[in-house]
Amino acid sequence: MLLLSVNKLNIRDQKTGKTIVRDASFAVQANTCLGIVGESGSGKSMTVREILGVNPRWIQSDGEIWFEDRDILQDDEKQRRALRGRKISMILQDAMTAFNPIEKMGYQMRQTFVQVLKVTKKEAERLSLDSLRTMNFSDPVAVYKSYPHELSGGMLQRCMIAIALVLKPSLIIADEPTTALDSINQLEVVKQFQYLKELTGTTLILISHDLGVVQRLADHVIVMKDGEIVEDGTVANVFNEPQHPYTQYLVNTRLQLSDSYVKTLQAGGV
Amino acid sequence: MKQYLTKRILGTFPLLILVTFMAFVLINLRTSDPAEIALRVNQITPTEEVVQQMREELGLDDPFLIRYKNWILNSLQGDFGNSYVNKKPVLEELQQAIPPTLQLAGVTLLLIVIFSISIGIICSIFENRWQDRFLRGFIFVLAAMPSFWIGLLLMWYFSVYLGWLPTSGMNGPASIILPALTLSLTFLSTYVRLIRNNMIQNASENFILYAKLRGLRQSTVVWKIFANSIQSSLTAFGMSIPRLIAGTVIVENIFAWPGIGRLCVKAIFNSDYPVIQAYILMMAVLFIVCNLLVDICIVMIDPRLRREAK
Amino acid sequence: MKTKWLAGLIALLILVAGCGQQAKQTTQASGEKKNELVFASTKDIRDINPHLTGGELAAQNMVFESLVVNTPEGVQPKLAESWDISEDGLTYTFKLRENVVFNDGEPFNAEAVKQNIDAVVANYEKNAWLNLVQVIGSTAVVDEHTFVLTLKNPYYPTLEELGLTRPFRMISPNSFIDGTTANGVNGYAGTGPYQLAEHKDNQYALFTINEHYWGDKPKIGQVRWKVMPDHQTILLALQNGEIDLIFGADGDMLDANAFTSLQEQGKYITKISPPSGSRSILLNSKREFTQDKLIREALQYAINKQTIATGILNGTEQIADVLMSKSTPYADIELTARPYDVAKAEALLDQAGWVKSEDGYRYQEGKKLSLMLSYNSDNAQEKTIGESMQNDLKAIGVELELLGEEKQAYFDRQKSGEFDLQYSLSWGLPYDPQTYVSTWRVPSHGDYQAQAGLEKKEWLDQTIGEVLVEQDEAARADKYEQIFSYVHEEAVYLPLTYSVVKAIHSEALHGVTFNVSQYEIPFELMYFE
Repeated sequence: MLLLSVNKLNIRDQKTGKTIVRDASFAVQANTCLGIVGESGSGKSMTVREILGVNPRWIQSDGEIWFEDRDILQDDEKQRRALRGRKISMILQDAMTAFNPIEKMGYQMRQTFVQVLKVTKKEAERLSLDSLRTMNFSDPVAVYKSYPHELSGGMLQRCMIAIALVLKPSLIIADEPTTALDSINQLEVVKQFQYLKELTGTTLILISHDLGVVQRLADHVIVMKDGEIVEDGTVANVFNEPQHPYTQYLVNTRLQLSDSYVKTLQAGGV
Repeated sequence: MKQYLTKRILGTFPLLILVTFMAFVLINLRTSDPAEIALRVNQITPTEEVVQQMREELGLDDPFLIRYKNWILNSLQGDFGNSYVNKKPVLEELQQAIPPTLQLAGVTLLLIVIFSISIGIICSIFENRWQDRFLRGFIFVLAAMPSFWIGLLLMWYFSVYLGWLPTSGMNGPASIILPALTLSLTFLSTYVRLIRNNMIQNASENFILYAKLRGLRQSTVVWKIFANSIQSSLTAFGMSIPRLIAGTVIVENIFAWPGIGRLCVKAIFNSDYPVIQAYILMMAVLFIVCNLLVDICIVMIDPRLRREAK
Repeated sequence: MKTKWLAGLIALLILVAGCGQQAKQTTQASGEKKNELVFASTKDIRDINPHLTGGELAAQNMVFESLVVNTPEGVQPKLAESWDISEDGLTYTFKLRENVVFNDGEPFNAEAVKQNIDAVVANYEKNAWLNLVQVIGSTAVVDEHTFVLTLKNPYYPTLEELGLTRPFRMISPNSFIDGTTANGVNGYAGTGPYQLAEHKDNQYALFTINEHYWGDKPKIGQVRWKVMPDHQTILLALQNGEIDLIFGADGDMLDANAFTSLQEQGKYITKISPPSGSRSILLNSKREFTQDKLIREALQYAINKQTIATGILNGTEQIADVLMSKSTPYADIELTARPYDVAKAEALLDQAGWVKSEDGYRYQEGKKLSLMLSYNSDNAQEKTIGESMQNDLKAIGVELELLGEEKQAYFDRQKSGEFDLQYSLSWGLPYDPQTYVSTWRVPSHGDYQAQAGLEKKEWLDQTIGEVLVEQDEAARADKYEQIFSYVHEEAVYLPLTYSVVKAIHSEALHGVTFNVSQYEIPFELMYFE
């Protein structure tokens, strides 16, 4: 079943007049993981932000984004907001700055569940603590009472995933979830995503420029360069038989990098 | 935390001593004979004999450091000497004049907070659109206008033309409106810009994006932006208190408000040195104490700084 | 949506403005006769102890009276009904008014008068600025209503000086502290038409009718003395109806332009008193250039006083050709005026050997003819007058430097004599001429300093001393003529104008007049209609 379908999406920056994303079209099947690969500036983040409708006012777009039963690009702000968190969740790249520094973690989690899931505060608290436990935190209560700056990047990333878990959206978009982390934490997070995928069957869109992570987690992959989709296929096809010269270049370079990744895997004794 | 507090408090003493010493030195550098001044102020012709009598009365024949020591010791006990003008204890004059100024500063601070927050928020919501530009332009024009002019304009409009409010004096709650309004408008531009810029900056922060992405309500998101913006503006607001208290001079003169600003100006015109000295001392203490309190408040409120203080 | 808001806001403002005007009209129409006069001053009344100089004269005048009073017709009875002066001019016997009480109930009698006068004389250093204090020998009580004052030597202005606003006014002996008034008083019990009912420091003072008053009670029940340090505020308060009266000479009065514009508006009544004091410039006879009489005379002809009177003072003051106006006692003499005559001024400078060079200024032996005018930087009017003079002097080749200093430095300079030109404002009636010329003998006064270089300064001081004790009217007049003539001859004073007292009040207020002294305000004669 097709969960999300993007047709001929163009994204323009009104301030500079440039077209950032040109004619993008791709689809995501339910219960699969789509990887989006590309360098910074290729338009990956813009595209997924457009799906959620959180780009600044001066970013204009046309085309279609089909989700559930309609083209959500035609929705008004109220409808778009109703989808955020509830139906489509996003996990940000930089976990260290993703949370409000002056509020405790527990408060922020609880507030999210109360507003989005419409449960009582007590219920929200229970859900928060349970999800933290599920994310393998040794002391969920301590985390609940902490401020964001008291936790590490990896912990914060896991909190974000915890929130996404509880909200049980149909689609989770993870924007460079491992990029800001060191390799040990990266490993942690990749495992969590694997777990997410296997256990909950949530549909995932995973953005990364790290091919190793994509290969590990994604079923389908699209490659973006300078705002255009240059390659689109299954993971096996794209990585083993890349068609586009750019993809070939990426795959070749990655082979050199992945060695260090594998070494870390082995050294970690997992 | 306690360590931080004690360190800060102890650090204020050398500063206080330095400031008071400087004030005393500067005032005593004057070329005119204070005994003569004390007489002139009361329209007494300074002949030799009467000047000598005054010098003895005021203890002006003692050496400098002795006079400084006496002044400091007396001041600590609240004895600032007597005013040259009306012979009353300076402490009494200060006690009479401080409450009106505090009232004025208090109401003004309230107005500044209300105006700057509301205008700052509006500006940030309509960032760079005509509402923002218009408001900022208006605030800029206000900042360019001297306070006495704003005061007189408001006085003319609300008092003479509309007849709603009294022109001056301290009679009842209505008479604090114009002076407080004038004073707040003079200071407004700094704070509006501060709130607006903080709001805009915070609005583009990652955690705000994430808050939106989580599906939180619009009002909740705005509140988060606001709460963070206020945090950073706290120091500015806190330090505005001594600025306000010291800056009421012009407004108090125009609106005949019997506060310490007016007292100080009168003392300067009359060369009433005991009052001037006491005023400087008081203001210095006020600034230093306020600074300290604001720093402590900031540390207590912002969780990130609390860790550093530990 | 937003335009609707804007439109609504504008409509609201218009409505509000309309309401405001309505409100003003209705209060005026109610026509209730006011019983409180609100008077605005930039200064607080402070301590109105009549024996000291630490309070406002106008306030002291409302509460305290003296044995006699100075009027345009001369000295008249007040608390003394009549008096006798002995042949030798040393003994004054006063017959006191009966059935007068201080407003604290204490009876007014000879004993009270003696205590008052003794207290003033005892506080010698502080009060010796007034000659009478130096001259009083003894006081005595003959009976309850007869009081005798004995002088050390005859002193003709005795009665005038007794009648001054201070220090010889009567306060109840109950208000004394430890038998004296030198260190303050514990009450303000006087015999005057008003009494001080309430005083909020630096805010206002409220005077109410003295119910025990022996004379005609004032028609206005209350006078509220409001303190407003800013002149603009006073102007707006007048327009707002918050104050009824503005009264005073330079310091407490609106500036000339504001006064003129109010005059022209026609909504208020403006009054100007007869000339009260002399506004002149001292030319220092001890300084390098101004010690030359020719230069002093040249300066006299060089100044265009019309510009000052019309352009700066807006025609409110008359031009003065001589130091004392003719209405001053003993000054109704013939002295040759030195009118504005640029050619004459230039001729005098040429005669003195000062040659005009290309830069427009005059030089002699390489030195430029450059003078300095010292003024009080607080006084904007003095500066403007100085600038006008600067212009006039430049036309004849004299450079005038304006030196504005803060008050104390200005007074120091006055005392030290380190000025070429400085302002002199006489005290006005009834102090002129005797108190004024008396101060010419005191070194700390600018007048003394300016006269110090005169050849006959010693003679001048001596003559002044003599005229004060001269019994014979004719001889006195003659001595004054000599004094004024000499000073005029020597061109040590450059008379500008005769100062006046101005009053502005609402149309509802009547009976606004001027006392002989420019510092007093006759509230007791005013009434509303």
